[in-house]
Amino acid sequence: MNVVQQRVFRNAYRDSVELMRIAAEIERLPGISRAGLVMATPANLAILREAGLADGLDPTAGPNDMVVAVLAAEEGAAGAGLDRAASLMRAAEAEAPGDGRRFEPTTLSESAADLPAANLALISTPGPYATAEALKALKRGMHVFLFSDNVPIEDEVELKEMGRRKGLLVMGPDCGTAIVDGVPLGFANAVRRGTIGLVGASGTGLQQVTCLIDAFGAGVSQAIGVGGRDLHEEVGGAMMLAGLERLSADGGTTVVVLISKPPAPSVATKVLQAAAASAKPVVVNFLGGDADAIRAAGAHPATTFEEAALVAARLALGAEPPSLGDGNEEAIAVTASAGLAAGQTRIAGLYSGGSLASEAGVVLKGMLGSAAAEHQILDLGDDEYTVGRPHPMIDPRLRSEKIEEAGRDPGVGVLLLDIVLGYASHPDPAGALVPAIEAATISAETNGRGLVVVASVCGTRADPQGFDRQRAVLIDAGALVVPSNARAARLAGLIARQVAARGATAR
Amino acid sequence: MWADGARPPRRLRATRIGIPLYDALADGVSRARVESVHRSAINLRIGASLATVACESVGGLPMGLQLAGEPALDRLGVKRGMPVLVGESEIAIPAAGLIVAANRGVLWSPIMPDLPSLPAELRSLRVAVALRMASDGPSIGLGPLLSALAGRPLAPGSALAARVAPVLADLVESLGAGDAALAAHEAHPLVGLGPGATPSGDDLLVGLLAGLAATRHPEAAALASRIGRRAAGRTTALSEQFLADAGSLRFSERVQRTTTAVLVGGAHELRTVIGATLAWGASSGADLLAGLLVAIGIDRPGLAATLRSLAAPAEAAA
Amino acid sequence: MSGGNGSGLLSGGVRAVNIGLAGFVDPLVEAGAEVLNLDWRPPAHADRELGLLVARLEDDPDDPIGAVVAAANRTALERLLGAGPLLVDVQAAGQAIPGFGDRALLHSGPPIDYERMCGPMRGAITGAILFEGWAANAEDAERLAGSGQIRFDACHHHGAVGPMAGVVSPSMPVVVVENGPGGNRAFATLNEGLGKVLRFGAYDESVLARLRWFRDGLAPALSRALSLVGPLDLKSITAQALQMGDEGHNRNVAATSLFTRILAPSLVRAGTSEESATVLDFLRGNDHFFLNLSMAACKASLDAASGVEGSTLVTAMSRNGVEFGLRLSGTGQTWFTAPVGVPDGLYFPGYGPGDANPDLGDSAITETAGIGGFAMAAAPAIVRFVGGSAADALDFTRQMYRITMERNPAFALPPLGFAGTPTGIDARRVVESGVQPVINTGIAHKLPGVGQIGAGIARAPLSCFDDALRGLAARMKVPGAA
Repeated sequence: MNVVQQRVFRNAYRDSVELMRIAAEIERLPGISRAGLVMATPANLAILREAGLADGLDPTAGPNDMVVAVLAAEEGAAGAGLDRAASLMRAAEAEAPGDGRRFEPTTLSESAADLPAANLALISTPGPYATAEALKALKRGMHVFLFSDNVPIEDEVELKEMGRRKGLLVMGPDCGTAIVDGVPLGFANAVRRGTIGLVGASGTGLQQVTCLIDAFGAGVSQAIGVGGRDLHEEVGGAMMLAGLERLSADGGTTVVVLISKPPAPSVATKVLQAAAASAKPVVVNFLGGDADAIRAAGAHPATTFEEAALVAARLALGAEPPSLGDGNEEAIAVTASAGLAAGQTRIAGLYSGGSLASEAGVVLKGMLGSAAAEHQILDLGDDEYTVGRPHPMIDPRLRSEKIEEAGRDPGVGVLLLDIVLGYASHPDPAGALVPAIEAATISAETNGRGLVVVASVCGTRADPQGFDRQRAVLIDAGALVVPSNARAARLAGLIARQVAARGATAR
Repeated sequence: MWADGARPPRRLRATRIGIPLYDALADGVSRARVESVHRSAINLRIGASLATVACESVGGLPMGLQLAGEPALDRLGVKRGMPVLVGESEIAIPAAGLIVAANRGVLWSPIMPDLPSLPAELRSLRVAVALRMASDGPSIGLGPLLSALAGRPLAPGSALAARVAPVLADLVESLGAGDAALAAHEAHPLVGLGPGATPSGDDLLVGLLAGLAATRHPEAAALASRIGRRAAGRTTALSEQFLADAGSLRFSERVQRTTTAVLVGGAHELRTVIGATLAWGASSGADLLAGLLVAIGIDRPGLAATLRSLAAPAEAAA
Repeated sequence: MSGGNGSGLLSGGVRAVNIGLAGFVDPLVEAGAEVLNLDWRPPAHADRELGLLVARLEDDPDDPIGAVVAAANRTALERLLGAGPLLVDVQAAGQAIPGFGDRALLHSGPPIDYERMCGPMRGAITGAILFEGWAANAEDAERLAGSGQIRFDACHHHGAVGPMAGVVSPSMPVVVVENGPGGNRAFATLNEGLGKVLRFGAYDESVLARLRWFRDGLAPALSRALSLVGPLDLKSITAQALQMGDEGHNRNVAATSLFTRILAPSLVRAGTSEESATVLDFLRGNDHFFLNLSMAACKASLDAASGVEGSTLVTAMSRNGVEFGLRLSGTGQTWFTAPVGVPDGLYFPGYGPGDANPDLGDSAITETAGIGGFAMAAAPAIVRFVGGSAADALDFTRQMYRITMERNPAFALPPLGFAGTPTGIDARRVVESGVQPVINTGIAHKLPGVGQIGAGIARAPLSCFDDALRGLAARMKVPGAA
């Protein structure tokens, strides 16, 4: 039997030669087959783990702590080895450790000593406590990025009113994405800096538009998230109006883009009035909103995120942006549908981004009318799926399960997926889904069916996950990867239509 | 300040002070604390930086000052955690009765000196000579890379070097393609990696950046600033400071001396300096030298391939 | 990713505090922003409403409530830090303390009925009655005390403070401490020393004899000496003592020595050599004599800071052996109370927690003013009593920095690099962080007359601070306050 044990020496500063000597001596002790003496940096902990020496290690060990880990034949030898290491360390000691513990700040008021003149608070506490933190931040003259949800709407109204009075931004509650002065907040992407300013009530909507702006060769000055409820009646679009005003006055912004699900009618009116009054061109995507009303306000309507990005880029660059690739969608749809059996008429949309799911729904409705209802587009980031579970942008397990389920469903012919890259997201979202995609495909094929996977990658080349690599992983797994979510939905719709048509003519 | 009639303070005087530290003192810092105490150096946490009060033998440091001679700094009663008062002209540790006068120190610059630009073949030749002289370096940390770069196979038991070699290969290729961001991304797993109070991976990176700076590689600054920024929380406090300094292309005196010797030193000087470098810490010098020589010979054809060939199969890596 | 054309939403670059998920920090750091990650936990022991009350009472120049609170705290703190307590005289309590009245006795802690008083306090009351001659023996004294003919009131209500039972009767001499800047006065009895003493509830003949000597010998001698030497600057003595190993509550030997040294020549000049020798002998044998002076000085300083509408500054912490009481500057005379427990500490041989009386005395006024347990860094030996190391003593003081408004420059602590003592307890910070003020205290036997059986560290109960803040919020008409 082999035993792994460790001991952590806090804030241990020892001469390196001394450490080598200690490690060598420990390894020579009877019963010890392996010993490691490392500073507990993330890189070294990974090595300990690979070497099988990290089981049971105190998770609070940090980069300035030393870990002695031993692999021994039995517990007694392990303990003896660690004791010997400890006594050797003591002998090598230059001074007594642990004099003067630092208190980490636990409240905003304590933070002032460590970070004076802080101007932004990022709040992602559980909902019930978020309001108090936001109040404290605003009272200290800080802007607020409020990621938390489950915040009562009365509190949102109060916070945004306070923000308005103080000239401070209240981004949220339930705001997943923002880019302020080039700094990414929450789930955001590494996009080129430029002159397009955005105000968005939807996180993944902002992500998709900013990424596509980057792809079109333009850049982003600011992306102000306002939270999912900002354009509800009670909140009255408070932050969207404030954001629009700021960007209209901002010297670094030449074009403004507004993104939201369809606002309450009174709020839409207010926002469009403000857009009309803005000196800068305004692109408006209300995700299926009234294009005529938008045009009447002198703004540019966009029905999809891609269109919003395209129009904005065109305005900002003063020239036609490079095309994202006008593949022949109809032809691709025909080829792809050829592998599907007659009954596989349904699209299963399994989304991690809520707005992307909504956009898919809007696109399909526009294509298929009432027939769009038979397709199931799920937002797996919705509350019902995330109780007690991390969000699908961080944890791929639920989506993987649903993908495999879809593979077993004889009525499903098309899997529609979004892969969202960027900061705070999963380090390899495409790779994480590949096993499930492969399993689903095999499962379908084993039963004489096909399965088409249509995906779009919402990201940029500069994102930590690497756009090209993620795209390549999906293509390798047999997916059809298209440049935007709107195109993906459209392609899925075309494929479904092909299969349905084939089924109709076959009768 | 000493009103309680305790013994009078002991005064030490700085002979030299790194310009970044001099600037930091002039800015007026309020809070500081002793981070660690060693025989030849006392490290102080001043704000987000680590400053060092060091004996002469340590040499110039960007965020450091040198004292005259070799006083035993671990016998002055200074202990980790003691508060430190930092002023424009002196640094005081009242609880230990110690005052270090900083205002008469000669200013020392951590910027790599301007060295003549050498053509690729000449650089390659110098790297080869240096590698021959470094053949009996330590076998721990990334020291084994030195003999491997000279064409010999990796010694058995050089698991860390085998692990790092392919990462280094990717880094070399990205730099060759002019992609500093990707290179920084590839450098990331090296931060905090390996044994030592300054982990081997860090020393390698500092050496690499020193080499790139000295040869005026176009991606030097871009790569350096990314690496310097990302080190926070991923490695020891001291190493973090070294990487932050390297991030601004600032290097300690002894790193500068080694770099200069490799590029333009005569044979005798080179042999002496390499010998001294290999003696730093347990493997710090060797690790640094490996990074330095890779950087100086970075456009040697087949370098990436050579590095890749050192990677051991995964099962034997542990 | 910095740049643009220099205009930005946030001037001076992004300087962010992260509250919640740590994963949001790295991207900001990579982008070149300065970020601080809070070690956040739900404030106010996860009581959402209370947490919101704290938020609504925060300083805010744009908000009527926030502006008033900020200004009020500034005023109260200035008065506290600017106080200059001077010892001006030693007089009989009935003369010195305004409105003392006829058959009245003062006691420590918040007001409490005789029936509920703890053992040591009842013993001290019996002793006081006997000393005044209002009864001939202990049984009669107890009957008198329970009869309703004696008016009991808290020392605090009369500008006075008393250690342990803190009983004051009209004939007992009290030190008179005057706060120069504010003009207000505070009072305290003379410290009897250790052993069988009134403040632990003893009332036998030795106790009464000592009280008589205080009245007839010690007090007049001190008063005469004071008239020669002039008012004594108590703040200056405390400041020096803190750098000599005292903390002003449980270790007072340095301050007592300094006091004696200052007074000795005038004592000798103002009296006969025999009288002076007796007084000096007493002072030599009583290491804690300065405690009562320290307490009165703190009381004078804190009273000056009281009654500022909207201020969250704590002006009194006190115990009567049954309840802990708290007062805020902004809630006037209101006491916020909670049951008090037995301190955590070391017991003298032969005693244990089962023998201990719950925490008792007005001496927590020293902590309220920023010394005592708050200055534990000055007297690390104290922490032996809870089995800690010298480093722990520093940590206690450091922890108190988290809940106070200012570091008092007048009281510098050498072990902390001459940082000032943590002064001005802010009830908002206590409630939000859950950090309870630490109090160095002696432990009394629960039976009257036995005396001190140990020493240790007590923590002020959080619920008082919760209630006090709710009380203040209601008074300020904060939305959502009860």
